[in-house]
Amino acid sequence: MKGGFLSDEFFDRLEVLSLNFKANLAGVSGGSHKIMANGQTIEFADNREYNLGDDIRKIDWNLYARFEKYFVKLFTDERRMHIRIFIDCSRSMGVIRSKAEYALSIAAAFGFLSVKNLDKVTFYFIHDDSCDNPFGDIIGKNDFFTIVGKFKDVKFEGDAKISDAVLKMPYVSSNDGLTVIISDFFTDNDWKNAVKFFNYKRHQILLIQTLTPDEIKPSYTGRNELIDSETEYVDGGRHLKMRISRQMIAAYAEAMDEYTNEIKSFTRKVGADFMTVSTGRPVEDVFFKELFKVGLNKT
Amino acid sequence: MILQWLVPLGFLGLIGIGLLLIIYIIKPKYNRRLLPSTFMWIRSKKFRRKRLPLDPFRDIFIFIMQALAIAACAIIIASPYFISEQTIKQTNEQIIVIESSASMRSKLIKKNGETRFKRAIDSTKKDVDDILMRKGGSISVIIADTEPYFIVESADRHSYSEVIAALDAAECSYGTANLSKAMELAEDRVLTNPTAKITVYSGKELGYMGDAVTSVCLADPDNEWNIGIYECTPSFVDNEFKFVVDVAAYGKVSTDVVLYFEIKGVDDGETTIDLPEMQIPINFNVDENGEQLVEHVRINVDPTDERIGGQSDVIVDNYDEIVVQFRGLNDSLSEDDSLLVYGGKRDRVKIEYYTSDRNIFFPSGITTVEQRFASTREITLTTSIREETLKLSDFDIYMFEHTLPEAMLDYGLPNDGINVLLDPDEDGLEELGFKSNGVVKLSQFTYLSQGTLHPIVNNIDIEQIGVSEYTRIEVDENSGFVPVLYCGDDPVLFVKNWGNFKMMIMAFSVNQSNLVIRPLDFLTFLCNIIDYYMPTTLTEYCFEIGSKTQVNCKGTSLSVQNMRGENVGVFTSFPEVVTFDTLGTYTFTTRFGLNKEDEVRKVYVRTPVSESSLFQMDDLGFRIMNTEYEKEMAQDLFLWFAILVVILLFVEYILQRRSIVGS
Repeated sequence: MKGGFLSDEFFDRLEVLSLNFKANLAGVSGGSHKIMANGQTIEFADNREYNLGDDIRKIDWNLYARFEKYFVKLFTDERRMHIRIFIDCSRSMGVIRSKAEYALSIAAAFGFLSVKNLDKVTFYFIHDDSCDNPFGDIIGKNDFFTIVGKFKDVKFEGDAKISDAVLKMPYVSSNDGLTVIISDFFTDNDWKNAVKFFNYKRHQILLIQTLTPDEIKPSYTGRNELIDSETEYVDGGRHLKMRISRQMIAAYAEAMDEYTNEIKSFTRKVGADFMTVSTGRPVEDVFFKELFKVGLNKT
Repeated sequence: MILQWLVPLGFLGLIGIGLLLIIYIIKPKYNRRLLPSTFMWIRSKKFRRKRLPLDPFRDIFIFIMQALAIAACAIIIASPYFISEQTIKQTNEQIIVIESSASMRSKLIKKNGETRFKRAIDSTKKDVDDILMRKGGSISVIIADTEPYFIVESADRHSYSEVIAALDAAECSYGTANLSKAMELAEDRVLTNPTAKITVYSGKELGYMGDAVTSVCLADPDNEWNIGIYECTPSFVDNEFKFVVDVAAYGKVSTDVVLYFEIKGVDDGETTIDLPEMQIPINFNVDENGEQLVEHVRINVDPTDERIGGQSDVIVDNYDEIVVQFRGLNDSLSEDDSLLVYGGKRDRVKIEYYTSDRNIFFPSGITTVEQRFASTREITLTTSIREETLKLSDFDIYMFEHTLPEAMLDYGLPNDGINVLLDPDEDGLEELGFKSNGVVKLSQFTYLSQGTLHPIVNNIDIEQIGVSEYTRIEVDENSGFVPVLYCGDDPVLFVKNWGNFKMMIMAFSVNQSNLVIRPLDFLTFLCNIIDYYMPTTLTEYCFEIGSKTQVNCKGTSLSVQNMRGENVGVFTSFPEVVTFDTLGTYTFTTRFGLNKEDEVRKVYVRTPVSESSLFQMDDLGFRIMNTEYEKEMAQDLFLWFAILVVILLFVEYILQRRSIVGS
């Protein structure tokens, strides 16, 4: 995958970042993310009055001397998070190679940030109505880089029914990390049920809409026969024959705004984050600018 | 075969093909563009509709252009043309001329007895259905009567019921059709609308009248024949009437017909002579060319001939009415199967001549005039030289010469006739209220001169008539006396004809004049007096429908009634012209306004003799041609269509160019 949008320099730069998870996530033991639950670390978190049954070794004697009451010390806990990255592998994502590479680069970057912080990462490639997980759960940088090298073999073809694919997954644990869905969301298929499902599982959710600059604002005008890549070979597919003028592009922009607002409204309702990224911009911008805006990154 | 590129349709066809080629050359090409998804373009449709409401039409503009070009080519090949409702009305205008004459009353013998006129009306109704309801055209119907007229003019489908009602109300005439004038009316419409077609329903073979005219002859020689009374002519010979009856047969008929002849009112209304049936054989003949010959039969009828049932003891010197008719004859035209003949009574003119100095000139002159008017007037003269035998009533003309009778001076002039004073004495004149300035004795014979031009001196050589003595009479200017002759400056002949006051004064004696030795002038003068004061009402007693005659009146007024008792007119000034437009007897009643009975005269109005002939040919001499209007109109339409297509083509081209530059 290196040689696309990713480079060693990029990964070096990512070293300074880490994912900022929501504090209410539980995760599993063994990670480096502090959570709100008290744990066994050495980092002091708070004091509370002693209750019967508490470990007397944790009584803060200094406070007893001052107040003549028993207080115990509380310490923070650190957990490992599970980052699930779902990549829309429909033809609409792959017909423009740069778009596919961009999506994979984002996925890889998220993967890197995960393994760097001792978290577990899983890549799901959505083809039609199934989630392919060819690489299993990945922990550790060595495994990660080995797998990223295989990203070039990922096929982008057919349709991607995100909800159907997600709901068919055999087991999804709850409250254990971040779920990232990378897609252009230019589909009539329902993808919102998938988001609702992860919300139900109390995952932190991030939707990344990946679009080419032409998809954000078409640069072509005049008479065009627009071929829909997913129905290119289907009789009566969603092909359009039209004369594209400035007025038409303005209408397109209006439609785009409306759709974006619709997604934002939905994600706000389910407590998910949403961002639109353009393949025309460097991937670094996603991590050093956009993710900061949604509060998912920290240095 | 030579290919003619400049033939308009071919040329336009070429333009149509060229247009198609141009469209395909300049037709905009769509760039195929593979997009990841057209999802957002599809979603943008609703915003597009708001921003560019006409855009869908713009997208299919070229398609419309192509459709138009192809349609143009198709139209050029098919050669139709679009026309407005008005144009449809014009191009499908039909003018129908229906002959309305007595011969159109001819019935079919063997079939259902329908008349030609009825068949013409039925055919016209079919034409009305076809033209108005199916073709959307217009129709005009002319009834070719003696005076042709439109019963409907340029009626369209909205007037359908009115047209049918007008056709139902149309009646066939008993007279003659003026087809030439009807065709002139039709031609006027054709001049307004050159595409109009004319159909003539007639009983005659009219021959070729041009492309625009279709002549339909309704004569059916196998089902129509007619035997008619052609004429019945009375002749007054040896103080007796004798008659000649002419019968004519038309069509394929050979039969014996029975003629009845009845003379009513013979011998001053006392006797009726009813001649028994007269068998007349009718034979159908053809000439050497196979053409049918008209059979004419002449019958001489002598009512006193006992061989035919006449009465030898009766002198038929007058009669009221003669009825000539076929009985039991079932021919096509019944209107000419009977005839009434009037005119059997001559006008009676009773003249009283009173003179104090008898001369032979007036009595002999009047006797000569009586012979002259024998066939029309029965003149009786009563001469009185003694006042004891003089009657001052019950005469038509009173002639007083020289000394006027004492009784008249006491009681005035007779009031039931015309008073003619011949050289009246001065005393008598003044007694009657006229002013006399004495007798003028001329030193030499003096010729008269013309005063007011008057019919009473018609055909008289006035300048050759002279007098040696006359009475100078003065009349009031407002008295109504017209000075007709002058001797020097003095009038010597006065005429007055005011209502029931009719009078003539001749102020000189025939003994002091050369009038009587100029017999022609004298007799003419006497005839003029009778003709002027006692004119015959009618000179003929049988007329054809549509004919006119001049009538006169010896009384104060003349009223005319037709067969139906309708008043045709009441006349007070004469001569007057009467037009006969109703079949049957017309009654003329003369009223005198004096103490005299009304005088009644009758005439018979019959169908025209020419209408009895059912199978005629007539070349009206009309040639009415349609113009090439339809073709020209089609060519004009194609031209405009081609211009429209080219303009639209350039509009599309400009719009397309702007679109490319704008993007």
